[in-house]
Amino acid sequence: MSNLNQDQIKVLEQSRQRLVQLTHSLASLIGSLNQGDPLPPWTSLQSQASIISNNLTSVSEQLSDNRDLLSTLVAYPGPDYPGRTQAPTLEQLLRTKLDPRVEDWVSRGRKVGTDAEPQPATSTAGIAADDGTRALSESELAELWAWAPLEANQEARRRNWGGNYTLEEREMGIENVVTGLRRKLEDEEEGESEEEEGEGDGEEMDVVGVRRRPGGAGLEFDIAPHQKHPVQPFVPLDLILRHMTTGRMP
Amino acid sequence: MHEQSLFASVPVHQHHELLQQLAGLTAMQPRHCLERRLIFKAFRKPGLAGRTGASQDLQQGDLQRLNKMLNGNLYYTQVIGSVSEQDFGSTAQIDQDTQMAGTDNAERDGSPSSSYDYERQSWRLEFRDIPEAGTRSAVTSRFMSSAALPRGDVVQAMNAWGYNFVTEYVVEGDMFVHNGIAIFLHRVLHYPDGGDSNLPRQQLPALKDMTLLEKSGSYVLQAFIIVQDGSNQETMKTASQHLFGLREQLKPAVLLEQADRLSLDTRAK
Amino acid sequence: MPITGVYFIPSNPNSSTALSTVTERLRAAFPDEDIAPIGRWALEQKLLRDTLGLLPASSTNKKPPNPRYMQFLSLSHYPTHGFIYTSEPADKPPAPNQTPTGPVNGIAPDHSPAPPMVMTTIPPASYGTLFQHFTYACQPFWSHRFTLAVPNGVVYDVGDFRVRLGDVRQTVPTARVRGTLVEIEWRGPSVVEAIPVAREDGSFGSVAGAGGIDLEADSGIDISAADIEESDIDAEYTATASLIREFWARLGMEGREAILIPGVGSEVKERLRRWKKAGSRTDIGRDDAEGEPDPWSGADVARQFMEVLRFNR
Repeated sequence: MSNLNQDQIKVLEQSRQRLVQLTHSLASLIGSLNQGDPLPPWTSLQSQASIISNNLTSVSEQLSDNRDLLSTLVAYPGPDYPGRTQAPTLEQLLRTKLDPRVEDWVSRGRKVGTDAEPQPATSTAGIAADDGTRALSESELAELWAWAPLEANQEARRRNWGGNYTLEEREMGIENVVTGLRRKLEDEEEGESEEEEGEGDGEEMDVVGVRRRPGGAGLEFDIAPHQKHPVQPFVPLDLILRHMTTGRMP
Repeated sequence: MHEQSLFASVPVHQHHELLQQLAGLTAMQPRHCLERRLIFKAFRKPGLAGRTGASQDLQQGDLQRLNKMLNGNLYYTQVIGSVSEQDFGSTAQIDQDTQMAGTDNAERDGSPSSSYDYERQSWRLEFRDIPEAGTRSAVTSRFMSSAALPRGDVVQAMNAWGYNFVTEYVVEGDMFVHNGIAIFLHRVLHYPDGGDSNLPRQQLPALKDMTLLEKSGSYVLQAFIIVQDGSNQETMKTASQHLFGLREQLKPAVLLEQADRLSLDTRAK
Repeated sequence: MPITGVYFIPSNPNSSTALSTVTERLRAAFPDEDIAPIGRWALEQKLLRDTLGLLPASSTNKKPPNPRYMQFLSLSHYPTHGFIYTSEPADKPPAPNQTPTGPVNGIAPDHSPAPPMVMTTIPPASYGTLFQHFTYACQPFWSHRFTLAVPNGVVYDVGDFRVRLGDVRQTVPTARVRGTLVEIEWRGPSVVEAIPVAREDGSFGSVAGAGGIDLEADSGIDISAADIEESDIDAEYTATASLIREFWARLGMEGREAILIPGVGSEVKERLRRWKKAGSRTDIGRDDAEGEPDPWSGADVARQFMEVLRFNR
């Protein structure tokens, strides 16, 4: 048994730091999912996910780069370790086996890892596999990617976009639809049908515009009830307030 | 008097929906407002500094007090006049002699004629101090006063009082009242010919020719309570709690926040 | 708006005022009149001065600029508005539209060295608010010097004149007696009183048929807009001023006089201008002649009071 040298301590410290980063980014994702109401925009979720992914990669690299050192390390409590007050941490540190929950994660991860490896093309190409969980082969994937966009496009053309509910959902009764949203979606289609407007009116609703009513009395709004192209203000609020206070142009 | 407020920026595409939401919340129809707002700035005379000398009839304490006053703050202040849509688009002052000649029964019962009469415009002086700094509550709180002025031209009096005209604009918007909170959804309109006039204008262009300050057409939402006695901590607290309550109610639609203090800085430097 | 004159008789802080003397002289000078109080009146004035002008002149011998004043006045006989009288700024920006309240005036040709004053009338609610505004937000310009009050003046009717008497007390910064005020108001027939007041919408409520007017009983003059010129108003003021001076002379008192001071009559002329402009509108009904009170009424007497009460210290 020998004491660790400076380099080895540095490796441990680096590992710790990367793990801390990972924990932080995970916690922030969990936090924004739990507390954000409504949910954070997808752009923010995606950027958090890519941060986590980067952190995972760097942890993974760190662990595999120093595999030799890390796999030979043995932890034991020093004489000055506060065993009485920090007993649970000590137990965690001294475990030789993984926590049962972690064991499950690891085994699931390993399974996914091995399944993802290219399989020998023994079975004939086909989407229907014996157990239904078999992953697709490379050629099958390529075929799927070639088929999907066209099919999706065709499917899309069959539908009249612009409403909050699909035809099927409406036939089922929109009160049965689980949207997952707190606010109540309006079904504006009903109003339109009373006015016997054509099918194409949906597109015109998208136009964003404000114009003076003829005669200068007030404004008319040509705004779709559910904006597809929201126009965000160009001038921030504080510059508007400053202009209103002092007349200074933003 | 103290004014406590919360602000939010409202993108134009949300305006219509928010109007309806506010009408629902407050159970009242919006009151449409158009206001001329004239900005005045207190002017400091040049060559203030260094006027000290042997005091003739002044006590030393008076002298110190005066020097402190001389170095006090000066402010921007606003003169606001309500106008109506009919006031806009008036052509050059219609000569009453020709317009009124003959029988004009339609005009006799004092119904407003189409021409805007600057001499009859009513005004009020609206002063706001810079918002208080370091308050614990998260609302914009500022000392304010509001006083009616005589009709017609205010510039001569304002000049004599120590204020110069800076510029003017028009605010259009809708007012609601809810739980003692005034809710004003508004935006700034500029005159089409720019703001280089050094006097308030005597005529108003057609409303449709007014241009938007914020080109996308967005609105400012201001929710405010005016507290008569700003030194009464209890009423001040109640007022801000009312505002917080409104903020919670409006949260799904719009987020009301404290304004950036320096953006409401009325001190003239 | 009646034509008036105001006199102020200063007194020493420790001696009694001239009030009782004036009352006695009044009774002596008009033995045939029943000199009995018919009412009370009150006045308050707050005077502000330009803060800079209060500093002692610097040693550089620079000529100190004219002092500037801002005076707030409220009168119980004009309860619908207060008055603010302010010196025009010395370096004021060009103001081409100086019509309504401008000091341009043919009545008083004398040019005092002090800068001309701007008269403003404000609703009573604004009186305190604006005063607070100037003392809070305009400290580098305006410094409150003192507050004067006539707490309980007495009103007498003497023939065609109405006389208001009262002692002036300073309440701020220290309480002391300043002197006695005498306001003499001409209540006889007057062209000035005959000019109708514009209504809220700018029309003239009291205009009767065919461009003529039927005045309230005591003015006794029937005129139309076309008959009056601004010079007539000047002449009326000058003539009435001599009547007031004559009245004052009969009391044999020494006092500071304010009658034909700059600006007096300018609101009346403005009223005439507006009336002439609207002159061809002849078919106005008379049923709602009671419009809002003229916001400029009393501006003349307010000027006169503030002229005599503009103390430097």
